[in-house]
Amino acid sequence: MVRSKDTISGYFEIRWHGRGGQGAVTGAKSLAECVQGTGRNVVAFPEYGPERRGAPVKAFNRFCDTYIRIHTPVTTPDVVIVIDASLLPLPAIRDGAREHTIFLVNIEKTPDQVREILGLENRVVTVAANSISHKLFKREIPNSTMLGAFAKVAPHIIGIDQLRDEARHVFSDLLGADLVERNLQAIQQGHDLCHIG
Amino acid sequence: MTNVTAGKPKIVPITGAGACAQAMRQINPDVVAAFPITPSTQVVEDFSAFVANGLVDTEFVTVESEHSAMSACIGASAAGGRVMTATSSAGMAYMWELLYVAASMRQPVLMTLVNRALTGPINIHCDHSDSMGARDAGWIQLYSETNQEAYDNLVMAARIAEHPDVRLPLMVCQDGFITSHSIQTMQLEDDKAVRAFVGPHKPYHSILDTDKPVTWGALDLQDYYIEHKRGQEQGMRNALRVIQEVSDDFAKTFGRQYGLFEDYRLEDADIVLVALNSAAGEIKEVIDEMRSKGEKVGLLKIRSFRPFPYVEIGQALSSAKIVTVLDRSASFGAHGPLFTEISTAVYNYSPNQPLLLAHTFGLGGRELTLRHIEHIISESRICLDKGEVGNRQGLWVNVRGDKL
Repeated sequence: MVRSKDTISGYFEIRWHGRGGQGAVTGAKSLAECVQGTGRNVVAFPEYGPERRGAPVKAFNRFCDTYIRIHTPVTTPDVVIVIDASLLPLPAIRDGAREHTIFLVNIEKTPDQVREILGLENRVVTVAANSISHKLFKREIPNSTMLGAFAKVAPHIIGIDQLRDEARHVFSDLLGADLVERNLQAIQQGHDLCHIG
Repeated sequence: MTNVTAGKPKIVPITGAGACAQAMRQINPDVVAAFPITPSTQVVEDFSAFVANGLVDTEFVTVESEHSAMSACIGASAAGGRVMTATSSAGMAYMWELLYVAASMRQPVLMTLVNRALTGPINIHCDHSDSMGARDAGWIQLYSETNQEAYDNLVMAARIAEHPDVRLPLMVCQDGFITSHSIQTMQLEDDKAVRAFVGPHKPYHSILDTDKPVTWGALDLQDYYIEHKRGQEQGMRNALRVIQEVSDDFAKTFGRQYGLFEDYRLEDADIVLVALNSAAGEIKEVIDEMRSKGEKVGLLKIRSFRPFPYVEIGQALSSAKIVTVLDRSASFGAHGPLFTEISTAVYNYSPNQPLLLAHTFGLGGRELTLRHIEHIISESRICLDKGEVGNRQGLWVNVRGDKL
């Protein structure tokens, strides 16, 4: 039973932070599609505000064994995923964080350094998703790498092996064989190269 | 006829708009005429891809406006086709004149309406001002809490609208962004099973049947206009029975049972909330929570707003002590449209007379959180204990200025 004890809603909840165009929305969507493969109920939705490239955006996931009835934005996240490290100082990142909340951040810094920026004692996992994606895609597409790191952070939701299998199905509907393969590599590297602190 | 795959139903993660596009693909209508508008865009976008990829036989008519979209739908329906469209907000407002024409010509046009606020000030988010404004146009209106319900309602739509005792256009409503853009887990039924359930379209006095020439859309003055309107009203009254019959058959075929409304933990509830669409999800969540603390609270969620099941709702509310109605649209200078219907049902068909409390919420996408609902319920409890709603009547929820 994936039911968080600590969030108000009782669902396992994720909040994504990124900037318009960086893929937070797509990341939440892809993660939901992959977790769907575990047989759970999933929800993924973005926060729609003024839509412009570069503006801070949020996206949300909820996962549960039972039907998910609520639609409101996630306010008490179990995991906060930050795709753009320049957003870290914003109060919105820390909003609703509880003792058990894990921060998963795309940054080339140590978990201790991130904790200092956040001003929190929470668990932090860092991953250099930009440089990993640069090597694989020749540009910054940090999403798949973040998914891999998520499998490290929350293996009880989805483990790396199942994530790879599900992602292969999900990406095969959208991408050619070569890009599917590179995304799977990004997932594996995100999982293997993230720093847990 | 395009090939359809026969297989098992699939559990899929899909948006509410995407789910409606899938239902349209499975229904394979003869004609779709639409003009994309946020937040219903994905319905039209996905469906036009199905057309381009040869997955449906549909003639897709691209038009320059919603006024033309509905005109094309009416023409194609009068020509004998099964016809579908999708729109939102200002798009539906621009169809206004033609909504009445579709209904009065008894053309069973099917629409996905993704609810969005009407402009003034401009806003793209959810409220029900678009469909509530069209409530008197003569369309059947079915509301959907979840992506699954939006899909299921659309699968049932053709059989309800085209039933010879009904023959009226039908709109399936769902909340803009809240469900239309939210990926939810749902069951997508098998293509062949859906097509078999929906069945073939039987044209009714097609204008293309030159052996039996007919006139559609003629001038209709003092001599017969009112008889035609009375016939239209009869179709609506009959629809109450037909909606339930089709829903029962849907339950036999696909296993999900729907009524004209859903009663959630209503049987012994002192406090009953009434709502449409997605807010019902949050309300159920809070009801479970408050029930565990001993508060007797329940929900009545309207599925069929037009026709409105007065008798059944009056009876369902017969043991309630206070009924708090949450309207997601405003009728300025009056209580909300849902409240007035519920009041009519209670006054005429409920043996007891519960207190009735009107609230307006969520205009232009303003959030209704679990905490707001808890507060609404505790305020309802205060009214109940006092025996009067007093100055709480007509308060707006989560708005700067009002106390709720």
